[in-house]
Amino acid sequence: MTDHTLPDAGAHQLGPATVTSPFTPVGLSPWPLAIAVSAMVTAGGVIAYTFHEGITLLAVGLLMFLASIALWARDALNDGPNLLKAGVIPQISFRYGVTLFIVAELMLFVAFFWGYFNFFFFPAKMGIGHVAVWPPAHIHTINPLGEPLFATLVMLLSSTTLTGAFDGILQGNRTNAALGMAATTLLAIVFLLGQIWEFANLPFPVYHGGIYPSLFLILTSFDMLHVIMGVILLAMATIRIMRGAFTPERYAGFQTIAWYWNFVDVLWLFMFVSVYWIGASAVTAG
Amino acid sequence: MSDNTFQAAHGHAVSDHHHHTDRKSFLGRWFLSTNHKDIGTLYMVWALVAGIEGGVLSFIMRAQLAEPGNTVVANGQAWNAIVTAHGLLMIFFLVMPALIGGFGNWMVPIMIGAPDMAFPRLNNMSFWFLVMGFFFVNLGLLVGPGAGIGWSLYPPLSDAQYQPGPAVDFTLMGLQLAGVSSLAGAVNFIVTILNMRAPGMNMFKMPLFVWAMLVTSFMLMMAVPVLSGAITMLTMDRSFGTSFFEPAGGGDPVLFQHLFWFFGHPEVYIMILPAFGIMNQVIPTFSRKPIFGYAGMVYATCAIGFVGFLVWGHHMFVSGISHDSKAYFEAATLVIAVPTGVKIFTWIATMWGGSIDFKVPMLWAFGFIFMFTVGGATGVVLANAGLDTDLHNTYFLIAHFHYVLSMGATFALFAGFYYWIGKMSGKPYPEFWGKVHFWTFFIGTNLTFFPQHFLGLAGMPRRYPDYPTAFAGWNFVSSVGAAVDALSMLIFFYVIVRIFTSKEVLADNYWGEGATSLEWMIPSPAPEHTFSEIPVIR
Repeated sequence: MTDHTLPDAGAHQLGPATVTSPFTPVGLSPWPLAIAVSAMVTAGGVIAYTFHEGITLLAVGLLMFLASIALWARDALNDGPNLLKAGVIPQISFRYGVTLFIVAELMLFVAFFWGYFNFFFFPAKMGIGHVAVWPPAHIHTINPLGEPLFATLVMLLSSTTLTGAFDGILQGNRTNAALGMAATTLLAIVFLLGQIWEFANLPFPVYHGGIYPSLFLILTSFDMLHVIMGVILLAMATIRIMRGAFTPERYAGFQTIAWYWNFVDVLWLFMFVSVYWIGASAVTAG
Repeated sequence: MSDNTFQAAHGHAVSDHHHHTDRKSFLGRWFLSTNHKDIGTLYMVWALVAGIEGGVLSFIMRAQLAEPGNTVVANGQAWNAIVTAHGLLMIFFLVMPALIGGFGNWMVPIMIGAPDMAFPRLNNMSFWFLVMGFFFVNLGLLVGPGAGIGWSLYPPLSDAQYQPGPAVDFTLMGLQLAGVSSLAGAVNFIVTILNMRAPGMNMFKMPLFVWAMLVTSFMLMMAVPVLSGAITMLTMDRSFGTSFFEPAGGGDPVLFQHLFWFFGHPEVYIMILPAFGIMNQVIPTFSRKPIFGYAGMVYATCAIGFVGFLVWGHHMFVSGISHDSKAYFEAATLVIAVPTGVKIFTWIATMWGGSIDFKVPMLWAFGFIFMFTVGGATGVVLANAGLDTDLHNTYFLIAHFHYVLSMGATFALFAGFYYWIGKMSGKPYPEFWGKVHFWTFFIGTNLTFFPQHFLGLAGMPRRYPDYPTAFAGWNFVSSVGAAVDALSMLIFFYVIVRIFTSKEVLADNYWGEGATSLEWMIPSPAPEHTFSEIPVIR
């Protein structure tokens, strides 16, 4: 009923009125709902576990969660050929998206480090009944030159192999890229094993251990969660490299995983310096 | 700088044939959607449900407080649980979903000439995470004695010692899920706005509502994970033997307050910036004049977003922070009044010399400017650490934030509803009943909250289920106001019924020359897919 034309609609000489959309519509998808339901089951499972109802619900939730993510990723990668045909704009969107995700993860750690530095700089906030020194007087922290240093070197080496893999992709050398990525994945697993060993040999109790073990636990275990995620992503990237998914012109999926691993790396370095190194007690254990 | 009008060289920026099947089952369409309009609608419907529940809880509270010595609510724990759920539902499940998930999803892609959001599946995931979060927060209200901790969740009250049982854990998990919803949505908005604008729409040609959504999304990215971290630490204190916030183990309860309010203060700007954005669309439309100073509005929005992260300590003036800290936070808080004032004056300048059309959205906008300014003024009062020492956690504070929220954000919500419902549904609202709705809600909210200033100044504390007889008079008036609000909600439901049973058909632009953004160049209701051909903006 209304004429769709606007003032100056006659200005055809200024160029095309519309351009083809580079964005392909996505159809109906069950994965968002599936992930939400599995998140709810997982959350319920955590509560069930803490109220001594076992880990079944939690395990089921986590499995559902991983399955939903995997199936979603599979769908999204099948958008891939469309993305390729569509050009570079959706790839830019993807890069932006992953960057923002990493920013959010960073802010999560800001909260935990805020807690750590709250007591590091102001040990008196431990309150009456606690001597105002940090680390707390009765805590022997882990010797930074032991496993933590080993872990740091492993991390640094992994970022080197990662860069090597990226180089391989940019030069179209699939072998080098795959080897580099496989090496990175292995080093990440070694890091993980080292951390698990450290957890099994802590010189202080975590449960009802007080503020230092609490902060240590939350920082290192969330770091470990991110390393585990990283291992999965690195392994995925290795497999995709071997299948020839990346070319010197098209590598957004690889690059974003590389960014993520670099983020995990920097996070660990910051943790090593602030918790293990300058946060060490006068007498360390191990 | 653009005055926000522009011409697409052709108006044919509309949808058409697409390649997949047009027929979607009801379940498919509403549970598996990746369409920003349908997801926006889902958010609005859910926000209404949550708003009704939050409103009912508030009516219970006002019934309890109508007279001293009432026993409407069984006991203090139940009262605390109701108070907590009311706050959480209104903030996380009404205001944010309606403004950001609802209007944001619906209008941002259209306003920038994009066919949908950057990550359509993620968009749906945000919605369903919100639903799950809502479910869990309700479990927190209903399981056992309920989570009686206030929306600010402070330990030690929220620790296992004082709130045993899973209610608080359900509430905290619900907030984690809602947080993920917001974060995913924020990522979607930022990427969409930065990367999917139509050719020729540079940043300073975007409608101001889009700017508001952009800044809000950045704020969400920075603030929500910190809340998540704080909630995680609290959950671990409750269930995993840690002592982040328990003094017995060397922990610091004030640390929680820092973390919570580092999120909590930006959160209130996250709620109000989209409301400002809606005002920036409505006021020029009904003044038939472009916004007075587009660039000033952009800078003011960014300034509020940025400075909003630097003032959290004004929620902690009586928590034992140092004198110097209080001085800093007071000064920084007062600074925010400046860009906010820029906005208010800009709206007035926009209306000045314009041809004002007093349709229902404009009534809500007028109400917003007036009531938000009142609320902002009491905010300036509270920013003064000395005064706040007396007024913190009194009804003066309740009055302040309900003026900016129940009257600021909510008025903007209704303004947006009446402004855009024709575009979303294709059907008009009844002008007369819309006005009745406005006036009853305006009178009701003012009756409810204005007397609370007096109660606060007289020393009545918040979150109490009972009070001395000296406070009875104004409490009764406030409760009468709540009853008027309940009536106004019934009128609103009638308006909704009238809209959806209307037989009228609306034009693309049913507001006239003052409405110049892209949504007014597509049909009403907006087609399922818009901008499959991207318009080139001049």
